Amino acid sequence: MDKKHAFEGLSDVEMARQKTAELRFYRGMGSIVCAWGVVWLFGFGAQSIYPSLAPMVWAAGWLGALAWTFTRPPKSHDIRALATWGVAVICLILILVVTRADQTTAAMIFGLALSAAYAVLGIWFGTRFLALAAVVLVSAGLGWWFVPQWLFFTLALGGGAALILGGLWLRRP
Amino acid sequence: MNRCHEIIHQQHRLRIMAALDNDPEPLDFATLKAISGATDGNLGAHLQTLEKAGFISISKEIIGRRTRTWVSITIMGRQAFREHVGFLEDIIQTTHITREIKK
Repeated sequence: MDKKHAFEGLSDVEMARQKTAELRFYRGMGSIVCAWGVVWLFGFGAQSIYPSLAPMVWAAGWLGALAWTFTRPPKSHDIRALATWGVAVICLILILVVTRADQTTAAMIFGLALSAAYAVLGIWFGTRFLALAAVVLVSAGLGWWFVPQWLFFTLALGGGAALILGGLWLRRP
Repeated sequence: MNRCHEIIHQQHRLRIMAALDNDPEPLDFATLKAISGATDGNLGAHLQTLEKAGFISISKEIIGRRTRTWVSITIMGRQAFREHVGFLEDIIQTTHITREIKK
């Protein structure tokens, strides 16, 4: 065997290792994305149909999804990555408080923030997340500009149902 | 000791072994197909070859009407794969050293 064949063999090994790690990441994240999709579907669904129940649905959903997220593999969460996401969420909440955003504006800002979060994951970890970011962005944009009276409904579908389907898609090799 | 394993060196089988060595859990048929780039029929044949050599073990799980195939690497397979990768690295290293001496 010459050097060329050896090099090709090692390249195949490296490619297979990278692909395996990528698919393992998608597999781990698939169920987490599904869980957040359920929260968005029921949260915005409740805001659209039973507004009085919405705060309770959101609180239960967030607690459940956070518990699910931090007990799913991969468990090796980098503390700095968690802190970064924490700072982003706190900033988002402060922006909503300072601007005294009404429910509709807050929903739109959450939609944009979720889209941005998936875009960041897409840029750093796996391009499939960019597709999820685009779906959330488009559904939020459609609701905001074209059917503002149905914004919660479009966010429930775009941020919820689409994320559940997206999570199932992530789990596929 | 590093040495060449002819069974592992074939491109698809090398990718399959690299994937199994890299993942602590067994991998299913669809995942191995995506990683190796082989067709269904080819992948089945490669898996049989590796199983016959004792490098992998295959188990079937029945989910409803469908059967899911799980593949995991054996201790012997992991050792053979690492010997083979070491062998490939040695070739590149040796060629590099030979060039340095010629200079």
